[in-house]
Amino acid sequence: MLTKKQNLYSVVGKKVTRVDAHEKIDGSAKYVDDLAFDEMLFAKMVCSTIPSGRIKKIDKSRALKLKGVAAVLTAEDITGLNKIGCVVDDQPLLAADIVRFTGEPLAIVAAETRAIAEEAAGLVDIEYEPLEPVLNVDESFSEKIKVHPKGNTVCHYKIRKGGDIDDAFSKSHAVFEKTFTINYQEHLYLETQGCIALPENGGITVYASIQCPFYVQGAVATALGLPFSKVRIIQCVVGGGFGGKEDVPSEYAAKAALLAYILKKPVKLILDRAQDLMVSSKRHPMKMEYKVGVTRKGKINALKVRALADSGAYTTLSTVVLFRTSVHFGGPYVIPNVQGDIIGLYTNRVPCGAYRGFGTPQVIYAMESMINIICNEMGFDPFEFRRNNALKKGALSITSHKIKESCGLIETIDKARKESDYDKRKKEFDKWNADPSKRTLKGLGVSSIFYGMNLGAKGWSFDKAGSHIQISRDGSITLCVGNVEMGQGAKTVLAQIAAEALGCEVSTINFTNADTNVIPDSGPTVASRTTVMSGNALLDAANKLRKKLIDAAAEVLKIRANQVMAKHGRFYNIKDSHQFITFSDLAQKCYFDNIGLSEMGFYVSPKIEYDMQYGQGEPYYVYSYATAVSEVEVDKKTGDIRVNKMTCAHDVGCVINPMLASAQVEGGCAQGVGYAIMENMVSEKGHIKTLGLSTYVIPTTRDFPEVKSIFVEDKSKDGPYGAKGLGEPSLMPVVASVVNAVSNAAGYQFDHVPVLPERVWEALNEKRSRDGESEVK
Amino acid sequence: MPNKNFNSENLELKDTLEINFTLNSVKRSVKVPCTYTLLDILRYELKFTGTKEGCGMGECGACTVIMDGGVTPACLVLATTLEGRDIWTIEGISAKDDAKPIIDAFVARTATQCGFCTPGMVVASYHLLSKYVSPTDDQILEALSGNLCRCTGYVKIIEAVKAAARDLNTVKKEGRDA
Repeated sequence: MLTKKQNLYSVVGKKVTRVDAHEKIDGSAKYVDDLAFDEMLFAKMVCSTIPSGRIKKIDKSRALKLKGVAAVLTAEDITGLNKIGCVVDDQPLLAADIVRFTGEPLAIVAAETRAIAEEAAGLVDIEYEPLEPVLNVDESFSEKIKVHPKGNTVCHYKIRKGGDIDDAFSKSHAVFEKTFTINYQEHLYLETQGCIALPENGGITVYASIQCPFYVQGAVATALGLPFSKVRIIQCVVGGGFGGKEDVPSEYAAKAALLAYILKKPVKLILDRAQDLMVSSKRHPMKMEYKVGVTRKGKINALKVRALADSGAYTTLSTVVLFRTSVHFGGPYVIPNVQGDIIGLYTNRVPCGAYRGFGTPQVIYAMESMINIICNEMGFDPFEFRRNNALKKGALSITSHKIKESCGLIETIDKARKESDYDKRKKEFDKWNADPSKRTLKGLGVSSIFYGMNLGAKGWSFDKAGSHIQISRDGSITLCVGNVEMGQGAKTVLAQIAAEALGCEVSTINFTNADTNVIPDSGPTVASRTTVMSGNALLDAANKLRKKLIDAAAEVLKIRANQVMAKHGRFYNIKDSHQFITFSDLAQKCYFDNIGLSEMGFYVSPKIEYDMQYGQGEPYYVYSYATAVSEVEVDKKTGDIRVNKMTCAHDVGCVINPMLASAQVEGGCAQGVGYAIMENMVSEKGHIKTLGLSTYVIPTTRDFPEVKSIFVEDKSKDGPYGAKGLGEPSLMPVVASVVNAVSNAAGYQFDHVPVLPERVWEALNEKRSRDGESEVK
Repeated sequence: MPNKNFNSENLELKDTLEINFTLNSVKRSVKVPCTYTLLDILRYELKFTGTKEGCGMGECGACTVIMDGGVTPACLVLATTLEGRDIWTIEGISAKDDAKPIIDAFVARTATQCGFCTPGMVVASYHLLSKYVSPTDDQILEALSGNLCRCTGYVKIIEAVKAAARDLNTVKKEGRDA
């Protein structure tokens, strides 16, 4: 297939190096904290020190006495509306009466230097009347204490498919039940949240590290009481997002903008790492009750799921995140009878929101663990079992979505088995584990996933994208799209798409970073949608330009338009490649002939129908699929876990850039391995204790496995050159496959993530004492 | 977190200190607040923004510089201890001829994604390759273990360092032969 594509396209499918590599490698790329403006002030947020309470008094006097402090603003100073919630109006920009989590901002300080701002923030005296906090989902569900007056339910998604669920279980050959819990995951982008707000043209311009310029524009306009046209958002180079810079930067941008607007000076707000860890959103912790019924032949017959998600103190994106949970909790399988209840609950903890995978890695972990249990107990081969239940063309998902195209799941299962050398490794590991003289136990784990592309039925109104392409008279090209480069390689992949369509070289393309004054609202840079959405928007603009260029080339070459071929910066006669005009000469000709070479493009995601009441219909227009196999080794004496190898097979439609695609898979593996066995956010009485990188530990070079990535390319008809998304799928099968591998090595199915060495050690000791074995020396 | 014992009445954050040190082979003299770190001096005073702040606590490696021949996080070097030191940052290193194979390998292998850890990675890699001509896999993993990356999973970074080592060896060998 690759060979065919290589012949078909000149730039798409090629290992083009990153267009933004040099500036990032030599340190010249400008991130927001690298920018400075004359008379710029530094801001610092004053945050709640208790998880729940009434604000009795905020005393600014000591802070204002400090030399160099320009302002201390509280809720009463807000010129527009004191609201920040991007979906539901339940969150203030600055808490006015009640604080609902430790770290909730109540005031914002601006001062001449960062050090003075930090000192002043500590001098704002706040008097609270503490209230009893709600600290877990069970307490929240009981509604004994209400976090918000309306009650504790943020949202409740139901999936009802097939007949009576209890009847279906009674007809199953075997029924399995287990409850799983999973902790937070912190994005830990290396660049903390930050922005600079400038008073400009009677409004505000914000430079920021963001995924969603248009969300920020809306939030700033609302907080300041300005029309959108007076608020301009310019994206800086983004030092990692992973969902953490989706809605959350709006909160900081609105605060900095408020200071800049009132003080009429530029204001920079950069969160320090501890504050970023404390106040910014996380992946939802969940409690997930699973019940699965299986037939004698190994078909999943019934699935009942109840998942309680800790949404934290405010809704933020929970309603959309948990919609995704509701679509994906059954995995990529055909299941005739399904009853699912996904419930988001308020607690007095940090609000949870978007994180790569958007509410699905949690339930995938639970579902794939159930499959591991079923295979182990009933003696099914883990690949055959998944294959036997897999979604394929013509099959119905748990939302009764009939899969019509681009479904390479079974191929990912087969490739993952073959490329991981599973059968041989399994035999070797069984032999290894049977030898009591070995210090370690080895295990293999499998996980398959599917993932809905773009924003889906719940977010269709936001699912659009714009683009602008301008060809200068020397033939060089400037592109702008409304989705952002945040490290994933969007600029490179989008440049390849544009270059393929225009027939130019990638090296002649330059990008203007997303700017709300230049480009129409393109929705958020999330949901693995950038390649598809901005790619299609660029194709729309590029095809208009291509027509003009081809017509002009035909005129020069004195041939018909359908005889012109555009490739690598030249327009050829299809019958005689020696007869050509270069891209730059053609651009110059168009310039002098007054043919405009500047076009806007626009693309809208395919429309789909979905019934929210029973969770049935088409939640997404197409899905990406993947299967991962992990090899792990656990130390019998210490419980220490090493992930030695990951083999990941992904169906992402056509791959635009194989090198960047494998880079995505490797990065997703690292975050997945961290989530599975390392990253443990400790929260006590509503206070996060792990406020540094030595306590919230992510993988280093020493913790990371060998990764083998394989691409199955089942073309998607609506993707640019057949592409689907990869950003999130790269992480999603990792957690479950690693936990299954550790469970298979230890002979115990772990029901809580992260699986830390101490838990493995405990499980191994319990097993030993059960088996009457002595302790490992 | 601000220091609660700090008496704001007597606070003199603007108390300055004069320091002389060498930065990328150029002698520098700066007057900075006594609370500044080397990272603050680089970023705020001298506008050398290639060195990034990821945590400010010496835990992430984004601000890695070479000080007197050893790698160190600039955020942990207090201004008061900087007198007479020899400092190399990404700006100085990336301009050196013997760093070119590293830069080229990072570009060719797409060993950067968001790029925020990258200058620190390049500095640590440069230091490693100036110490060992042909580092072992273990030496590479150890040398970069203090530099956190959240995007790449380190795979392409490690590949790039290996490629750069091969390239540097070829250059050196050619130099000897000629």
